[in-house]
Amino acid sequence: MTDRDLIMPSRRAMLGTAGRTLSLAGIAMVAGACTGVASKATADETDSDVQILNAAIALEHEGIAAYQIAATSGLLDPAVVDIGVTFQGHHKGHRDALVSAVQALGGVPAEAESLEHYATALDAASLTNQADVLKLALRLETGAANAYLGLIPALGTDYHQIAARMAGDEAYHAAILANALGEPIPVEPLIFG
Amino acid sequence: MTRALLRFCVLPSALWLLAGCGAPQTAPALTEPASEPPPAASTEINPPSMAIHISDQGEVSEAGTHEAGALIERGERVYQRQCGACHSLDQNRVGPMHRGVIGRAAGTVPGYRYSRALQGLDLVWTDETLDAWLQNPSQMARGTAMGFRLQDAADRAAVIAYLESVSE
Repeated sequence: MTDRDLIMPSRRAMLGTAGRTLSLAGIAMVAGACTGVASKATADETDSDVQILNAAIALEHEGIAAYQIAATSGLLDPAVVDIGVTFQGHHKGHRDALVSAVQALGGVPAEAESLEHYATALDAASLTNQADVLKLALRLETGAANAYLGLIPALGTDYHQIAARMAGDEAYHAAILANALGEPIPVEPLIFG
Repeated sequence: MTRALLRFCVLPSALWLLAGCGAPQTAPALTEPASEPPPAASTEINPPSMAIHISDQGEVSEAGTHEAGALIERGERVYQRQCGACHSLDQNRVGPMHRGVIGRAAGTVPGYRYSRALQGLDLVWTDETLDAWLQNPSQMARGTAMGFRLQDAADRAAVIAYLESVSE
């Protein structure tokens, strides 16, 4: 790790490059993983993978919306907004990779709901300050890391790696948020899953 | 490397200092607590139906009540950490809302769009059916969108106890 790795890019730079890089990497990985799926998986197994991957897309849609609601809430310091936008870019990369996977399997990717739907579902009206927003983000990111780890056994083996990589991203987000909230470092190992 | 580590530590700390600064106070506070440390992995906790100690005279012992309370508390923590990405008690999100799930027929939460697999699942959620579901949803309803499996039996028992407690 170098100092250069840790410099936070500007919001404009992040919007311009990071999401695209993640998306392309994710799509390339999924596309590569899919080359052998059609010949190995039964129709039932393929349908099961599509259903589960679509649930993951729905999860990413909600995460993207949550960061959008947070960024436009007026509750966050600009520096925190920048970090949230970076995390949102990761979720967009996840969404794009998952959409590519569903399409490669012949499925129809789950569509996003309205921002109002997510605001209601997440009880955004109850957020009154930055700490509230960070706690909500931590809860969602922790849950997402565990969700990806928990669904790996149900997915076809071709998708294990990408699910694990996404779990890693969510765990990274959760660690940053927990630290920002002053939470103690967990003493026990196997923190997620 | 040292500089890098310092920067890693300073950035989140700065975020913490910024938290709460200049925030409008216009709505009621979020009531849910911050996530707590994960419960230690264990398979020694009894299922909820066995958690309360009842004497020969039919009285619930203090120890049994305490044990049941601890199980429910553990269940809430596990629920937040393991289920909270997709579910909540009172809102349909990625998955359907959970309050009142015990005793409810599968696939019947109003306003939630179920997969075909759940629409065709003919059962009522009980301790036993929920335990089997959480262990391997695809085995009960092939083609379900819920791929998540809660593999630790004690965690499943705790979550079911928690869902029972909020469904009463």
